[in-house]
Amino acid sequence: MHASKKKPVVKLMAYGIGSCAIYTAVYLFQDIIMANFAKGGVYTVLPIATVFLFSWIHGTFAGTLWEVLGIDAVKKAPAQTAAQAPARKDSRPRATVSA
Amino acid sequence: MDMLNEATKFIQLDPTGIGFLFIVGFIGGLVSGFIGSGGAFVLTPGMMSLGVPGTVAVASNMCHKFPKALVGSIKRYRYGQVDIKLGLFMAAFAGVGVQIGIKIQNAILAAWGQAGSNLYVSVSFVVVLVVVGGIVMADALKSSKNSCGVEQTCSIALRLQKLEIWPMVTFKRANLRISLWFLLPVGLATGLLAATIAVGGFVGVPGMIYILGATSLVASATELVIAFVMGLAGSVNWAMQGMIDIRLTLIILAGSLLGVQLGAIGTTYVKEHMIKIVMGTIMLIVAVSRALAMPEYLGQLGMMDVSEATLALLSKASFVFMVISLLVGAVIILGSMLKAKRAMSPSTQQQEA
Repeated sequence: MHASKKKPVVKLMAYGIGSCAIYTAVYLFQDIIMANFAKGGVYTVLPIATVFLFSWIHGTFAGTLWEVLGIDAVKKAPAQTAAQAPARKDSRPRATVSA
Repeated sequence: MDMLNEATKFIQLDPTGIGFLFIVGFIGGLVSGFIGSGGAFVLTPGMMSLGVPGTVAVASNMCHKFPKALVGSIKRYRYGQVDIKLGLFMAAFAGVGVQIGIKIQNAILAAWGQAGSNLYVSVSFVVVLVVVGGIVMADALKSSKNSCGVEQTCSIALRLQKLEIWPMVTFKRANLRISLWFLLPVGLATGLLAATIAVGGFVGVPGMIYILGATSLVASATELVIAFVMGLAGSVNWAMQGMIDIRLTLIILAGSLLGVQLGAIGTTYVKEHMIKIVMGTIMLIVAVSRALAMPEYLGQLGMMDVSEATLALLSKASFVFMVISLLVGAVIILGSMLKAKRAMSPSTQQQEA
């Protein structure tokens, strides 16, 4: 799509390594994770915070991967094709001063 | 304590199971990124077929849904397709709809037991998907014949927008102004369906298109905001009960974060009616899948006499149809993206520049 644009290979590698690291950590420590993440109560924050962390690191990696592969959005104008009902005229009687 | 019994049932994962969840996550993400929802309905039965208990499957699935929706909606916001205000209004009403849906479910469960509840879910699924899916598909086919490529706003939506019933709400990005009284039922129905069949978007997106008058692009992108808000609330609820198997969630997320962004990119490649085509197709195939699951529940309620072998076959066929629905959706999306990319030959791009 944008052949002239420099591809963010360094960013891809950084987030790729980060993504591999967090997934490896979950694999290595799955026993501790499974023992603590499903306790409920205050431990609720653990799984929720974890998915946010993964969606940031792995999500950025995924987005950069498509960019590096050359699959990028076709720049379009925002989709505002919906016709709008015209605003009705205010036909209420108004008080007027007739001097 | 039921919770602890359930929690001890977290399964051992093998490479086949991991691969299956990753691939279904990717395809589900692709579809969600493109039409705003979908994909989740295959994951829950898919996890259960691996031996995951029902509640853990539902909880783990929901926990992957909201970060996926977040990433997808951010991507589509950058393309100018998301109306955050509309999404938040819809999510608030859908939250109320979910509570109503749960109450109805509980009442049915108390009256007719688990089989009655399953039958109610299946009947709702089939009726909603056939009716709404049929409308979406018919409209998509009509739009595809319309060579101008500009999506027409539905006449019902235009009429409703003209009605000045206080309070009126304006949505700048969706480019519409409508009474709150028309927004409310669409939001409630989305939540009601989400609580019943776990895919609120099958009503939410068509509702935003045909009743409120948003475009397919804006409606499907805004659905991701609704999915994020509702998914986050639902996930917190499940996490408090300790039902989330974080490993399952993260494996699905690994695939779906790749898919959801590809689906979001895909919306910028294709004509708007493609969103309706994909949505209508998936809805109608899923309706067949759920119809095949009905004899089992009818048998349990003593309304039908079906042999064990037939039930096993129907159950397999039902799951296969669900998988087919996702695959067909994914093929249409990727196919139309490739077609659009080929159409953008270098000479065309030079002319545009």
